[in-house]
Amino acid sequence: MSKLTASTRLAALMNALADHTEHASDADILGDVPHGRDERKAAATAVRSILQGAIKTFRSERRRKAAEEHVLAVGRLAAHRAKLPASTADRRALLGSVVGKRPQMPEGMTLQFRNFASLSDADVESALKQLDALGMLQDDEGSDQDGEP
Amino acid sequence: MASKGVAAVEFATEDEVARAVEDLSEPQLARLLRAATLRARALTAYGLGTDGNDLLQEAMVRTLAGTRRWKRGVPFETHLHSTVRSICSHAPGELEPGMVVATAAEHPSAPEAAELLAASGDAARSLAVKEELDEIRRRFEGDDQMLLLIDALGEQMKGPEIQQLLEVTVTQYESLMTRLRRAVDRKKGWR
Repeated sequence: MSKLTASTRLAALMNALADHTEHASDADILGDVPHGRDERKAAATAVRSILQGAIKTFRSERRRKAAEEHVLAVGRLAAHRAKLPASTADRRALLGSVVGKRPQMPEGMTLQFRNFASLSDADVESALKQLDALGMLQDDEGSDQDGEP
Repeated sequence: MASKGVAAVEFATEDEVARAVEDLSEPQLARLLRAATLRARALTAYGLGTDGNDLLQEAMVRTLAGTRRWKRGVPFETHLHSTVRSICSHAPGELEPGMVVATAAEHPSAPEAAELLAASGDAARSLAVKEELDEIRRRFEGDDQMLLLIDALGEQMKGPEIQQLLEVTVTQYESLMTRLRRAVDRKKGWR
């Protein structure tokens, strides 16, 4: 009389057969299918679809999460109330000062702000808000206080 | 820096995984589903309702998410088989109670854990499982060698031990296993 439960015995049997299946030859595994070529092909297509479906689901889930992150980031940016100079001239000057003092600023950002004359007042304000959200305006103020050139 | 480079070379990218799925042959796909379906049956014995499709899908998700990455040089089919085995036996904490399975070679402690969980299962399920085992045995009524093989596998005995018990060669043992596998595989509703 076995000391093992029926569940354990059935599971052991199934796992042993699964192990055996993994090592079965192609001819052997195809011989298991008592159907014609078309049915075998359809069965293979169904399994492939399951695997491809998993890839599709994974990718769309990742896109959904990225979109959610983006919405949250935009929300955080919008909620951030930057203390910007009141006049547009002072804002432009501040942006010029920040960009000028930061050669290490990401290249895309530097290019974007290089030609200040072409930036609208709204662009300047938006750029300053972005820099403020990144903590770069505070740093700049700190640099001034430290007496950096 | 070196380790980062090694990691990049060592593991396949998402696109490579997608291409590998495209490249799987009919026998490979059939083998994957059969093996996964049998492992799902093992889990069902402990009360977890799942099937081969679910296990293959989960194996893909783990591969893509990076929790079970595909190492270059390992055939993709082998990787998926091993990931399905891993899902069934390596992470009982992530699974429902009872989803612990005894792939004995990998985890010697798994049978004991499975035994404990099985003992806590409901009586109706135990009866159903017992009926399944009896049904498999009934298919081979009068075939003492096959009945002994079924019992030995249920007792978690391994190939060489069983060959000795049945007094058969490796080839004869393989042939018996193939017969048993086909009989179990063709049981209605197990595909």
